[in-house]
Amino acid sequence: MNLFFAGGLATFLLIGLPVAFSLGLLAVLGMYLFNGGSVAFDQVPIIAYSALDDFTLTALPMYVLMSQILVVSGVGRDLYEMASKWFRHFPGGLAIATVFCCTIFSAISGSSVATAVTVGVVALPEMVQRGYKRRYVLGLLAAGGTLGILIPPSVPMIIYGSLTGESVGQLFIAGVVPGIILTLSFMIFASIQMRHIKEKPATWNERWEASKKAIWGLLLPVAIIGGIYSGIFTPTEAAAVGVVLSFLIAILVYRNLTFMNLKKIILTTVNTSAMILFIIIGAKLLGFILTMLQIPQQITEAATGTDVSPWVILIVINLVLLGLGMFLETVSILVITVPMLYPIITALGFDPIWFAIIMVINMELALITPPVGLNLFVLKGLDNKNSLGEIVKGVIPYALIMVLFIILMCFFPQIATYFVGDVQ
Amino acid sequence: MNTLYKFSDLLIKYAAYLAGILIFATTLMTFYEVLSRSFFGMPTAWATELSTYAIIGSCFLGTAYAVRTYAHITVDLLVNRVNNVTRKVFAYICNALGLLFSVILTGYGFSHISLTFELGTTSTSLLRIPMYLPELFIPIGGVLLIIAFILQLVDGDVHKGGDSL
Amino acid sequence: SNDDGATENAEASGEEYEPATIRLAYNLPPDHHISHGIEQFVQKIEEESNGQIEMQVFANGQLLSDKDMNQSLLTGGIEMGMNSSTIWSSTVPAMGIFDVPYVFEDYEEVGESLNGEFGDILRSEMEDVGVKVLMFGDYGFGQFANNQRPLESPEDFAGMKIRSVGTLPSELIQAYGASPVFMGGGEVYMGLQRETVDGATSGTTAMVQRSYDEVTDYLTVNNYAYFEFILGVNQEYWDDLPENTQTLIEETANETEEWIRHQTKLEDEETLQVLKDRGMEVYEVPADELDVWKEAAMPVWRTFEDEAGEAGEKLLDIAEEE
Ligand code: NA
Ligand code: NA
Repeated sequence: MNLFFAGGLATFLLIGLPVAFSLGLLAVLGMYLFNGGSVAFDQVPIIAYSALDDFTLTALPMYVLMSQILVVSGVGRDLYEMASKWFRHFPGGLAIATVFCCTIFSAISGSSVATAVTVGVVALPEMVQRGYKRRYVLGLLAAGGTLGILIPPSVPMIIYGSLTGESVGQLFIAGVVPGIILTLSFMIFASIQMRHIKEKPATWNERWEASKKAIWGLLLPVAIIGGIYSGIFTPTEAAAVGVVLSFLIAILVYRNLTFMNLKKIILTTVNTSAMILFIIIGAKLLGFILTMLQIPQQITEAATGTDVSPWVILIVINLVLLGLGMFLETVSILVITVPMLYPIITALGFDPIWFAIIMVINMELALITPPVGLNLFVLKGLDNKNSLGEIVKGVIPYALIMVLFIILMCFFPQIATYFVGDVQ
Repeated sequence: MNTLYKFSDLLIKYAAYLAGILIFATTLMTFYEVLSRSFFGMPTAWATELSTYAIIGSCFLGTAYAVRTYAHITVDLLVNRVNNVTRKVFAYICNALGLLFSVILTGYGFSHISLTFELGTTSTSLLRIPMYLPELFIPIGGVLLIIAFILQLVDGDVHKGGDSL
Repeated sequence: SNDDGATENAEASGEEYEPATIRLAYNLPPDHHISHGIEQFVQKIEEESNGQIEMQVFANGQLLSDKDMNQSLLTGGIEMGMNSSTIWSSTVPAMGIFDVPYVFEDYEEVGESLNGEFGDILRSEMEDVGVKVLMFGDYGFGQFANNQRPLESPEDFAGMKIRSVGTLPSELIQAYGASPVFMGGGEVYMGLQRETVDGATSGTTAMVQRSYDEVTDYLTVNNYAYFEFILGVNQEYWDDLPENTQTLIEETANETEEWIRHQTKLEDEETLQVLKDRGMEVYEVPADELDVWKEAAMPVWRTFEDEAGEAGEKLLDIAEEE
């Protein structure tokens, strides 16, 4: 049965069936073969609908729309022009600026996909145009986007909290230092990887001029961050505010939003968001039948049922999470594995808050591991020139950094837990 | 035949525009909710719920257009390494498989909404929207998908957009 | 082998059960007392049937969320599902009775009602759509938490924005002069923290589970609703089960229902104490002031009557008598 699913998915994907339909069709075949024949098909529309029946998902198309407006109007270009003037004399300067943007956006959105789309749509064309290697940029964006769920706020941490009863506030605090360390590691690696691009420093006058030009683009994130932190709107609603503000800037300041532009913006937005949402439907359908057949449960059980040292179990748990992360989306993995793992982890004497951070980093990995990795897909959706293979190759070093970071956290759990004690 | 082809393609494109309008509508509703709640202290009873329906609608109405424009992500690892004939065969198989999935989604989608209609299930909110209405997007999107995959089979084209891994 | 052993045991206990696999889905965290009840229920059935009846449990919404659970149960996607009465009320309006404010005053009254005609009406309404009710799993009384001010009378609600789930609780919030806000479950914690919303309503068990004490300061204990979870089984599937299997399941369900009800009271008390200990300022509405709260909630009773028709009227009549 496991072989059927793994082999079936590989076959569908390799002959060129789109990811969304590969997942969906495999789920349907799985239902037919292992879940009572065609009577199980009644569940298809139920699950397909419920996959999208979530208000927080509405942010995704809106963030896609916002990024399209930023690109077409030129707001994004001006922002990068400014970043370039300030950072270009550093090796890989724009890469550092991009990770910085990801971090800021992560800190406000709680969503990794939104981070990857929004930063990516602006950064990718500008960086490629300035001579950065497309593959490197794609890898950087896919990985930088995942910071969204490690740096608080973070939806997976809220889910972990409600499944285990751990304090969400403590989980958020535990994410801060790991988030900063991972951000810095990404920056350092990117800077080394892209060190060949180093321009002569801009003059202070050039910097000033570029900053003036980018002022509207700068006000946008300031307004969004301010609005979310002051509670005027939620991170989901922030997407709508972002669209409206970028529209106003495009119409009133840049004055270059024509009707033809608008038609193009609409169709691109529809294509990208329908593509991502349909993958979510496919992933949910496949997750449904796999869960029904208890495949992830059995794998988790087998991995933790062995009688070996706690550290071996921990390693196995991480491998299982990595494996599940390849095929399932993050919320499914959390609700399936956390209730099984939490009692084991605490019984073995590990700190549950620390383990939450380990879980979240694994969820970050799930977002960038093929075949089902949402961050890979949103980046692929940004531009036809991006191939999935290139994105995957680009992201591998960052995935390794995350794995190394998990190992580091095992030796120094204080990275996550040091500040937690002071909270209550 | 040619007229039917053109009409079908146009239908898919207009559905995509409608999907875009739904995304705009979501933006406006959500923005209105923010203004109304945070500046006038009056949250709406409808913005969140209708936005969710609109986005569901935008996905199902837009997905056929994404098929026609090769916007759905594919893995191009093998496809770019085989000869033209094999590639063409693969394309036919994929479109047929896509059609199969769309037919199941549509057929069972219709029977699903007829059950919801019979039971009179509403949303658990102040709006009490009959749930068969937003669920209608599933079979409608399914029919559009069926049309899209048939058109793909008629074209017999292969995806030219990708580059090799 | 294993199977032979099971058969032997079954013979030893004098009862033979037809092998069956029953899938049961629900959406509550593992530490909740209803989850503990379900664990016992499942364990008992498997033991009593010597493993002939296999129960596959999907907790925490890992298979189905609250919203898609009922559809899946009705179409036979799963055999058993446990879901809140609030969600059921969107298909079976009479189920809204548990959200009608101040219908129940104490835990004992709930048990008596559900074991009598009151419960029969609900069971028969559910059977009409194709679900047999096996168990009413008590979740506990509903309360209000907020980050603005102590709510010591219905008037204190004026102008507040309160996150709400479900039709009737939202109507109550409106009746008290506040505005219901709809936001995703994952955003409530942040919403309360940043004061996007002023308050939220839930049972104290959930408030502890979701760390509400970290983001709200005031708790009002007015026991306005009695949240209920219904364990249902697909009627067609049920009718095909052998009689002894049905009896075993029903008896176990009844036992579990009693256990959960007993536990609910303890959990409500315990979690209330936890919230106090963690520094929330608690206002418990005194018994003699409840009439004021109930009076102000009367529009919600009317709404329920309109929606739930004859069955609803009967339910309200029975509730009023007691
Ligand atoms: Na975040
Ligand atoms: Na993955």
